[in-house]
Amino acid sequence: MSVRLSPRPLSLPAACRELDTPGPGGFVVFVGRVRPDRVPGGRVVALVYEAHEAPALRELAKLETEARRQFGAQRTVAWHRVGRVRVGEPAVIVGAACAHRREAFAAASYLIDELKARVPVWKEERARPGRPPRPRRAPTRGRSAG
Amino acid sequence: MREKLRAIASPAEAMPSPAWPPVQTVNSDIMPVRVSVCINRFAGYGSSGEFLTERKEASSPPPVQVLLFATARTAVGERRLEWAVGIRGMPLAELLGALGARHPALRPILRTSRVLVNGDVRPGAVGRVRPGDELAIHPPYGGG
Repeated sequence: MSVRLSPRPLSLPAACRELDTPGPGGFVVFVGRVRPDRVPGGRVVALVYEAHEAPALRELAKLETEARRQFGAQRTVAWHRVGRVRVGEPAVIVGAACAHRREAFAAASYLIDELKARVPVWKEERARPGRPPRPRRAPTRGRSAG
Repeated sequence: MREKLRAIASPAEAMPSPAWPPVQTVNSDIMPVRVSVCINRFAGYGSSGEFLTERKEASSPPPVQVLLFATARTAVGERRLEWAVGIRGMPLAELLGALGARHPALRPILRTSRVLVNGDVRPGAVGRVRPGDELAIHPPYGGG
């Protein structure tokens, strides 16, 4: 069982190593990354995450206990970044190793859904001003590029 | 404290020893005629008839630490506030009302926020906050 709030980049291989033991039949990992969404101020280049650390770690630990009880998860990870996370970087990694695939998928899904609802973490967008998106035009037939 | 007071209330009784560090001679020429006792101070006569008082700095109870996150922090412009309360504290709902009155931008956020006292969620803002408690305002979460 592993919970973490980290100011440093989250490592998917490290999460897999945490879950990869011979006992369970398989494991499922979900990695949530920062998207380059368009926003009124331009385009998102990063998200800044903050957490209320002690209650957040306590809630993550509770989620792991619940995943173990409800889905028989033998190993879990629930890691979240804090601080500035650039587009494309993992902001969250959850995973569960269970005897069978159905339980593993259900446990991982439960972990990410409950994490978003119950763990005191917040994000703030950092956008880079950019040109507003061009209006779309209907494709013109019969004209070649160049 | 009563025993100490009894010891100094009568001039005939000798003070046990000078090992009573906070005792301070105020003015041996003026002989006050009564012994006054209050929360932070007591006074009386010493073995040689001098007027003695024990003074303690009147200490106010430690304030409630208010932690603000995300939109609550933006609304107030601070991460942390100190809120003075009396020795018995105050009802949580009353404190939240006072916070909203002082920071009107915080009011709508408080309606949708979870409130934690010393790390425990207090649904319905029931109960009291005591001096030195940590009160956290959690707007809706946005992790992941």
